[in-house]
Amino acid sequence: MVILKKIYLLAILNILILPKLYSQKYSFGVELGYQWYSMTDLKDLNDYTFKQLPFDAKLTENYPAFINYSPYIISRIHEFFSIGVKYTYYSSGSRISREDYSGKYIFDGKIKGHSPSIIMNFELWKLKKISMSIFNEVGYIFSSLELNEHLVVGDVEITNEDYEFKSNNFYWNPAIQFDYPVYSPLNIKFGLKAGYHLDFYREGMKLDSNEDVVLKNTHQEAAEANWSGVDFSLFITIGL
Amino acid sequence: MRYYKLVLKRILYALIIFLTSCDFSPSDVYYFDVKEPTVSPILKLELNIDNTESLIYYWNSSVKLSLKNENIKIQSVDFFLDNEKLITLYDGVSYSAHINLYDYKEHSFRIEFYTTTGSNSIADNIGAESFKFGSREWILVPVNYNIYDNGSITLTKDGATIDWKAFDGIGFNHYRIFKGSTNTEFISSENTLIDNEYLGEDERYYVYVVDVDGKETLWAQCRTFNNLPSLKIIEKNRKPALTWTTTGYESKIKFYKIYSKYLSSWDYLGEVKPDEGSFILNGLLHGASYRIRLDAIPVTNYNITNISLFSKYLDADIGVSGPKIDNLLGNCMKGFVFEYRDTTFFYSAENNNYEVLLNDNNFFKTVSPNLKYFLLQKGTTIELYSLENFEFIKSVNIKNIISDYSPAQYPKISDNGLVEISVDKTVYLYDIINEYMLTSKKYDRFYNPVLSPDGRYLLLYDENVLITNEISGNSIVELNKVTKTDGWYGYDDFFLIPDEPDKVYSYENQYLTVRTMTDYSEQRKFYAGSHKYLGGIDFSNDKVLIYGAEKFFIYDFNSGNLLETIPMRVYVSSNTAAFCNNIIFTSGFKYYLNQK
Repeated sequence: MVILKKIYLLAILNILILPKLYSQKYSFGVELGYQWYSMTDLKDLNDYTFKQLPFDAKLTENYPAFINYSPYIISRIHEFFSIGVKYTYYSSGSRISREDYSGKYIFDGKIKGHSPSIIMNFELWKLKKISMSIFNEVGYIFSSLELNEHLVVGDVEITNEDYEFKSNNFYWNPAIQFDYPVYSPLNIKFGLKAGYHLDFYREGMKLDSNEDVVLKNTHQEAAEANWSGVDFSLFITIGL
Repeated sequence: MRYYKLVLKRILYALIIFLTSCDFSPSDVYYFDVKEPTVSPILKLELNIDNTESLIYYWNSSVKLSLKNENIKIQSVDFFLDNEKLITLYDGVSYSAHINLYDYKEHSFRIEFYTTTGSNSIADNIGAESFKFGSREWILVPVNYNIYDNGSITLTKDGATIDWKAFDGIGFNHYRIFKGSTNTEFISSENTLIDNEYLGEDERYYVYVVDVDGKETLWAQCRTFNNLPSLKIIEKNRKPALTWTTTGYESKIKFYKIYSKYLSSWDYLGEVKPDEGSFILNGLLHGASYRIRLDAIPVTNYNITNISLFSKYLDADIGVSGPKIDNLLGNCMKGFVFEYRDTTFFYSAENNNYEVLLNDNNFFKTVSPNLKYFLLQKGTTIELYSLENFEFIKSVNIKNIISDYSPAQYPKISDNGLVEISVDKTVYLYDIINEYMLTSKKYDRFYNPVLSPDGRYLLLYDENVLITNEISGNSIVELNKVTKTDGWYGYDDFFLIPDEPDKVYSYENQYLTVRTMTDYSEQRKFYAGSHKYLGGIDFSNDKVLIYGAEKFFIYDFNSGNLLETIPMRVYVSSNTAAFCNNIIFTSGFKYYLNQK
């Protein structure tokens, strides 16, 4: 955590002080991504739960790839190097369901991730107006998993249980980025990015209301929210 | 420019709205198309309780239902006692409920059972959807029973057949039959049992009903009352032996094992085949009370580690049966005369049996030392009998001879017919055969008289003085007179023995001492034990037998050496024991000395 604080401090210095020293400009951007998630433990738990049901059901969703979005501010502090801060919101989930004339069963899992991060961009080359950059992102994800099991038979609600688990991960996301200026007076750029999100440090998920209770995977170990996976994104930046 | 900014701003707003709505939310629900059932499926049920309208109950029990079906699962079973729902237990196979009844009257009992619909819906699969398949109701009727009325035994040569009333109550699972003598148990589902190992003994069988909970209750009890074989102590080879009656099942008995217990532990004595009929009890204390045990070892199932048997017991005083003696009147080699209760007997050593002499013991009796004469005192009259044939010889009214004679006197008679009568301080010697007064002598005090068997000597003694006399002609001649300080110490009896009429035998300081009649000098002495009481002495085969309390001493008559000491486990006294021809009679037993 000390290292993380130092990185944040450097980033803030870069953004607020260095641009004045080198007469650099700030840019605000919004990124819309689409990412596949590993979520191995949670998927296994879904499979296990699914098989234990006393009736036939279907696993209709099992933590599929889903869009995420990120606002960010970045500052060019060198002719080829930019640095900034970013916030990303991730979400995914699962559902086991079954409905017939006699009742309805739904077992939902919704997982959300709130991630502050530091981003760095190094421009490799520029061909006419299109530039290609190496993109690096290091961040911290606050994960929250909500589980809800709901069983209704006839008019009688047999089960309606909610649980919320939380955990925190560190991640690194390297990527290759292409951008193209679409409106020069406002320094508006449009870009594409492809990379890999790697949760290199993961914590076990703990019950929010009682941290002594740990969500366990099928191997009876603490289950983790693993956001690792390939991601693609579109972004647009506006010079400030 | 302004137009661009406006467009850009709107795009930005749309983007923000879009992004904030990009939160994963599952929406699809899998719909499983099953049809709602309307008709109850066919179900086969097996109820293990009576198919009548009423059920008998003898005690609190459980009702267990086995419900079998081929296509539909049982969902639940409910039991009701007087319309109150009972707790239903399910063990994976059967449903059961325990009926607790705290009174003894009729109750209603109902069973309802439900099945799944088989629709495969969510409700069906979680057991929330069912058909009430059916309901049965009974009246519980209380019935008393008697365990002794419920069972019976039939004995055959093959063993015992036990039959009992079939249990018709609720909750039955099986019977457990317990065999009392061997602690053997049998399990049966039928109400009959053939016990092939029955050997003819007194046997009890207990029939328990084991219910569906495993609890067992005594249902029937029956007994053979055979009490075979009965045990008895007999005489065999002049020794006590155990004998037994036949049972009719000897072919099933490999052998009998015989044990004895004197104080606490069982001692193994030996084994014998049943057809041998008896077993000599060697090594047991004569006259002692033992518990004898006879274990029957069956031919079947016999091996070293698994012995099935029954035991018979006999509590007995060990010994060869003999006459019981209350009072010994006299004994010699010919036999002895004794009283038992109201009867006087004569035991003949020659015939080894005894016969009744008199059936009235109210009169004083005495016999001559060699059992030649029997003298009966009836008031002041003395009747004389011959002991050789017990014929009456004569009767004499002594009052006519001795005017102050009274029945309180105890006359003595010698083998030559001389009767000694002491009246106050005078000693009379009366020849009853010839009916004349031989002599009389008056002393300064009363002395206890002892007349020698041949009538030649008369011994007189009291606490301090002893006088030996010889009867010479018509007079009593004093031979010697000794006082207590001269070596005579006790108050004990003095014996004058037929074989040595000139000797005096007395018990002095634990010794039988032999002294001469003339000078009262010590000739020989025999140790007679630490007891103060000397029961008696006898001579036979050049041996001297001295019997005191609980012990016999046998000495060589000529050398005075102790030949044998025989401990007895009964109290022996002059009134309860006799010796004749090497047989000791005591406490109703005979003991053969030459078998020692």
